[in-house]
Amino acid sequence: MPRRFVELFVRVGRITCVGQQPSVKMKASPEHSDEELLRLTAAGDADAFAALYRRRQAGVYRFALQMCGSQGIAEDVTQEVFMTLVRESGMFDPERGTLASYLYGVARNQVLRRLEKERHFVAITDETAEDCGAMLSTRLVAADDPLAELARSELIETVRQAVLALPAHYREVVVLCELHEMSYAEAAAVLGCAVGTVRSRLHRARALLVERLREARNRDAATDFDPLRCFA
Amino acid sequence: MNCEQYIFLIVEAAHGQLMDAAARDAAARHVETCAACAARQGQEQGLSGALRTVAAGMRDLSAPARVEANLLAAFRENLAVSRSATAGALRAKGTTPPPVALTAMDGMAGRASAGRGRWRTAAVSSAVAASLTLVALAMLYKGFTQTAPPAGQETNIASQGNREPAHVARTIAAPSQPAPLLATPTGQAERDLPQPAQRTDSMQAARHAGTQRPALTLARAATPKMIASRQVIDGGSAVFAAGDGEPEANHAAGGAAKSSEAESVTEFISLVAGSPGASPLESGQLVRVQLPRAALASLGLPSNAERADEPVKADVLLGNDGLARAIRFVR
Repeated sequence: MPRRFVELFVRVGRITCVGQQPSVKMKASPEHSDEELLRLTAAGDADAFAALYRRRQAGVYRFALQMCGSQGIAEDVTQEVFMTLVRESGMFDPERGTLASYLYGVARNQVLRRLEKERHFVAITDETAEDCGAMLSTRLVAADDPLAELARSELIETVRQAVLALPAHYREVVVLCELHEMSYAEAAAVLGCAVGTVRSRLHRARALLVERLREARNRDAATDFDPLRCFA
Repeated sequence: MNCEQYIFLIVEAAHGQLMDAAARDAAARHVETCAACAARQGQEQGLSGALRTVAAGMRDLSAPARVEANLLAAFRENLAVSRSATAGALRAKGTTPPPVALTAMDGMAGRASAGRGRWRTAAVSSAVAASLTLVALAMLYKGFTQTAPPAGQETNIASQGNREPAHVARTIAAPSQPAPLLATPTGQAERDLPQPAQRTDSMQAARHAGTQRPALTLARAATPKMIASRQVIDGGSAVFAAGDGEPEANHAAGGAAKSSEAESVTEFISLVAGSPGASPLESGQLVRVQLPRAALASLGLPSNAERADEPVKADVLLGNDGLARAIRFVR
């Protein structure tokens, strides 16, 4: 079969002639780009799908966790994002952005849908947030200086709660630009809005965060232990 | 530089945005003179540090291994389904399936082709739904035309009596006493006819509830045999009384009886004798029914106790008012 036809088949995802052209057959490897792995995934290569998942799952999972604060929801969202990729791989258009941006965008839609669904329920106990906070504290506390690490973990937990308390459209820019260190353009591609919108939302979100953190500090100061009372 | 511009600059600087030298100098001059912006700068720097710490603390987080296992299982399942679907489609076309299965979207064919696929699916679904609706409407129309006779035929029915549509099967309650047997006009003709005054409550209940099983069952036209056995009697000569001779109705019914050579019939027994409200019968129908053998005894006829569980055939003469006027038994 002429090589031109082989390339054509490969380009549209039909790898029907790989048996006759071993050089064309691709095996999933870390060197492959996201688009190549996705092409192999669309052709039924489970290894390519696994490689793609391992490459991109952490970011998607962290984004979902930072957006909703629940490990269970973050797992569900991650699973649904990659299932969407399997089912609707043709929905990704490389000309519109990277695969990572596409995955973040799908994750964002899933998270917002879940948050909207969960909005009607009231948690009896905030177990998920506590679990998440405990997990972070365990991860961050070092044995060298327990008091300093405790203060650091408290600060992190406070900041994390303040981020979770932001409105969703502010929260997502903080998560993307601050916690995932995306540029304005990358965040705009994920959110499907203009760069200027991302910039203005981030400024407003940071102002809100500063305000909330100041309130939290004042609240903590008001409830601080007063040693003079012990001597009375 | 005012405070708003300064805050904008420090946030931009925190994100690594480039700042020209003139703006940087202006910001430095502003923060020396503005205590609020100096405090805000400290807060912004603290916030940036805290956010970086949070990001660093969560950098190693990843989804649990069970998510990957679930996804791989789902991927293989999806692959098997699409492979079988593709093979089936290609078998239908008479071609050989390719060695590698294709996904539903055929790889990265692009957003436009995906949109076309969705529109095609929607169009096919709409066409199927419209076809099903048309079929359902046609069936409904067919059922309606079978149930409701044409206007001319309806007039004929009214003149002939309460002839019912052929598919109507009827159950009425058995009377507590042998006479009069009640028959109820139903179907389309029922709405055009006056309701019989003798309709009983048990009959109404059996008709509406449908749960009570009466002892007497009139299976009018439930089978083609029963349709053939129903005869229409017209004219003033068909007035029956006990001991009357063979009326025209008997001739008509006899025609049916002649068709089955083995049948022998009794004389008609009046079921309305002594009923003051019974009007003379001008026309009616002869309906073949099956009765429990106990009906023989209730009419004063001898019955074989050994065959008590076997039903007996009878011809019931129904008037226009739905009343059973007479009965004869068939053997």
